[in-house]
Amino acid sequence: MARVFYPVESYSASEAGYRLLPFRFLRLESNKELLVNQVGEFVVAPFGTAQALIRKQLTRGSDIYATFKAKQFIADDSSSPLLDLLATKYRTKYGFIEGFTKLHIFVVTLRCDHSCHYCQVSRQTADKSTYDMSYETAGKSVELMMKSPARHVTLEFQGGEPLLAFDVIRYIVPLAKRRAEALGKDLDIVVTTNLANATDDMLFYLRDENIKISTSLDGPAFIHNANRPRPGNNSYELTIKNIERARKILGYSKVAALMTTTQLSLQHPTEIIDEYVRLDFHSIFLRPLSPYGFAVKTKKKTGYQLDNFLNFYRTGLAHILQLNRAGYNLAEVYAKILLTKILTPDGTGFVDLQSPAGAGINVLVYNYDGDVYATDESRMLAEMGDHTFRLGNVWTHSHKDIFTGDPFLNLVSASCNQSLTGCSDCALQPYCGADPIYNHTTQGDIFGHRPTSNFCKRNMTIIKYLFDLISKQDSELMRIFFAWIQNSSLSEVSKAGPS
Amino acid sequence: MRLSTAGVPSISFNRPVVGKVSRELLPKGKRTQKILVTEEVPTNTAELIGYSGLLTTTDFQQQMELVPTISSVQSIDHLRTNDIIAMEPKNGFVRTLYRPDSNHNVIFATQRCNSNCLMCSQPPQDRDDADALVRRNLQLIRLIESPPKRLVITGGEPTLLGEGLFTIIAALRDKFPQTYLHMLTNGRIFAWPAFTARLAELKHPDFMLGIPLYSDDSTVHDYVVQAQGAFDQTVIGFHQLARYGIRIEIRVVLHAITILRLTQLAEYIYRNLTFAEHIALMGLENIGYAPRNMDRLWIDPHDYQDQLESAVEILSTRGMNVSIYNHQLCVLRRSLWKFARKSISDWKNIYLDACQPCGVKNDCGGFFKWATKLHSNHIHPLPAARTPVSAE
Amino acid sequence: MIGAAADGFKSEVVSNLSATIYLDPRIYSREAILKACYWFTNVAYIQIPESPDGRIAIQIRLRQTVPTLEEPQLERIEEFIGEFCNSLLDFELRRQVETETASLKQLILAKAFSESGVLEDEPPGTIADPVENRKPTSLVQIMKTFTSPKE
Repeated sequence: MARVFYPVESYSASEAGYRLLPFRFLRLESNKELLVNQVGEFVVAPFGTAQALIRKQLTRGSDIYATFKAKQFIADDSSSPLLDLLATKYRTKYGFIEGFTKLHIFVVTLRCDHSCHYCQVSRQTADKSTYDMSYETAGKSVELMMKSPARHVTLEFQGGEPLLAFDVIRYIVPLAKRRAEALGKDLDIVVTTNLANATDDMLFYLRDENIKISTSLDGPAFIHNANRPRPGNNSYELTIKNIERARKILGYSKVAALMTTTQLSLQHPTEIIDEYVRLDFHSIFLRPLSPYGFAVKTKKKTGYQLDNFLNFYRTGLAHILQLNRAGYNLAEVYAKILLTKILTPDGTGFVDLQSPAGAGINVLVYNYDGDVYATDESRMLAEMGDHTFRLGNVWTHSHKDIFTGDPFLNLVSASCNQSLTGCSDCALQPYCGADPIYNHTTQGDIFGHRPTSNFCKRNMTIIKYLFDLISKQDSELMRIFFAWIQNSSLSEVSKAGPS
Repeated sequence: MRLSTAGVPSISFNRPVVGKVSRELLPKGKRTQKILVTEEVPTNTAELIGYSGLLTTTDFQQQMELVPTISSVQSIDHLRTNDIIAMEPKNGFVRTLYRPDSNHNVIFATQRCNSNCLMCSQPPQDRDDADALVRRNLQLIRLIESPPKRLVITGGEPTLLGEGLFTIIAALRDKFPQTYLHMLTNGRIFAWPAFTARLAELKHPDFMLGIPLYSDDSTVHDYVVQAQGAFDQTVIGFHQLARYGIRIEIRVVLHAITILRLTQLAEYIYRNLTFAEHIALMGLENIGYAPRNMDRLWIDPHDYQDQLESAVEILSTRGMNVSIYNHQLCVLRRSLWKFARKSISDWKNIYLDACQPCGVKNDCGGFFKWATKLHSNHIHPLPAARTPVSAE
Repeated sequence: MIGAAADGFKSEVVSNLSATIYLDPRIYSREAILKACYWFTNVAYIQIPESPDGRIAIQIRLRQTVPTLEEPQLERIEEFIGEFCNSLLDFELRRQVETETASLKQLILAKAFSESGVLEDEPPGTIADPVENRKPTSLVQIMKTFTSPKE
């Protein structure tokens, strides 16, 4: 029996009409709108498309119809809705939840030799050793940390200035490594330090134990020293010298820099970025100032408006992109996190911008006194007398006590933007996050009020700005973005692979 | 290069024979599983006993009870000693199954297929050849001596063999564990987890499936493969395969229908089939069904370079491994040269007269032998490349 | 000043800082109205008093009465009404999507987080070719060993 060929009409839906699959939409500037499906796949379309789509007015056979069907915004009976595919993609997006708490921050001391304006920790002079974590508390904290089901955990030393309690670090590191090995866990260790007190011995130790360094670099001298006063007012000079020393001993890839933004910083985005270039860094995080700790007390020095930050960010990002186009690889970390969520099938586990919020679920803070907090910011609040987010204490609480206790459960009830007022309808929900601690601090309750929320306005503005850039369909720009996402360089992206 | 010929089967020849070609007379002890291929048949029958078969160009009338014979064979020049061939009793066909000196050997599984692609280069026959071909392929595998570097299982649709397919793959796994095995399939049956699980159970150490996907639009894909529901099954199949850890390559044949949404397909593959190990974007073969559907299919490759470049850019920028097959360097944009491969099997690979003076001919994959009838209007020789063709 | 009426939407400007919007509840759902109002509570005081005539009345009073350094431009009440109307329409559309897709969303989430609920359903359609149709072979046996979960 000879086979027959059938026309394309035989393969389209037999019945008229189509069904909707879950999606959200948002108006953009310049007469466009953004439509986003259940797993963050998006379409930028002319204004009015969402309405036509929802009112079942799209014409079958049009390009846009086929696109909405392929991206699982709609389904007709030419094919099944492939819900298992959507579910698989959804699961991929939320892969960062797996393993539960992965980042464990150990505050080994509150002592510090700097008095940074934005510091979120009390300043203690170097001889007050009651503010160091005791070995016993350290042991209990490691025990609690290893109760996390995560296969891969990161231990981050913070403070104060952790190197001032180097003996505590030397106690914790071998203990943590032994426990991790016994449990079959991979362990990464990082120390956040201003490096001012880093002796060669300390650096050798860090190298030998494969510990990474994260240090503060706020920009060129006049910004860095203004932000970060210390006796002698030479924080910048010390930092530069010590970055070089650390790089020599540990290797380039083991030394990272983080900047903190102040009102002074906001005036000088390009100078700060250029300083990072001058020092051969390839990653910079244009962070907003957090409203915690001494920033609130010293508001005059560090208070600023969100709009100023947004201008700073836009100018900074434009400058960074220009540098990239000219051949210098420099990734902006905030954009990279958002772009990963927008442009790839993956989610990201950046604790400050995820839903469910990272507090407790992905990060835990072990204070020098044994108190356990949901985030570093929760610890700052406690320093100011607000213990709302103190989840327990390593001496009195088991892992189970902490995660079934009221503080954690209350926190979690406001951690998912899928169920927050305003967020639940927002098209940007898959890219954004929830921060109940920020809401509590700035607005008085963990749920927050979206129209007046700086968290909301900041993220909506930046995400929309990124969509604006993506819509330009500039292939060089996309290559830059994907180089950031893949942690590679522009010259390595779009190489041909093996055949 | 010829891979088949035919002649007159002898009357007593009634079961298919698979054996190794010998162009020379062999001593008695060495004739098992060998097929004597000769222009002059020895008159002494003792010289013929023991061979598995006899092929001759002469009009050999003698009754040979013990040696299946095909006489008046049209051509034997292509047959070399140690080639493995099949002799068919019903119609006197002689098929080359395996050539030890070639990198392009194929295990032909069946002529059956449950799709009916508009451009199919090996149109299906609705005949139940499963048992016969499983038997033939197992005999073939037994006869292959030194391990080939790679083998391709193709058809029709190999998965229609069912258990027979698993038997073949297991035989290859056991005898040639170092041989890379690639299987071309429409992938639809893998939507059924039981089938996928059985394939995974075989644990072949170096195995990959090449599965076509022609559009992100289910209607267009189903139309191109002429099967309702094929898109759904194929996509679900991809995911089942990923679930069971089986390696996947996605193949896209480029023609007028698939070019229209090629960019969107690239994006679709990245977001939905990220686990694909390789994507092959392939030029159209003017053979099989393609000539009869050419009015719907033909587009000069020169005219779709925008879409091709865009699709390749999308995939490669996102870290996916993409190649271009069956395209000539003179019709490809220079930026795409590094993705082009010399993909055409030796037996069907030619160059045109226009290619004679071309400075990059050695790096170019050339044409299918049926391209003499239809090819791009923009074929022209190029000067020698200043930088290596495969360079970034 | 009485504003123009669009489908079930009528606005009445009372002063340059306040207005009342009347909505036909047969066209605008309570849900959409409340959601739209929520997003404007940063710029306006909004009250929804009882309305005897079956319409929903929304009283709006802009918060900012004088220009400040932070907000040098005062919003005009007409602009507010226009934006509010757009927002209302958007939320009404969203409600429609929610109604139509809520159960699908649950299903997708359930599948996403279950251990085995994905890729276990019977796939759509058939894969038989004409030969298999004429005479089922081992292929059908293999497929039959697949059983649905949770029987």
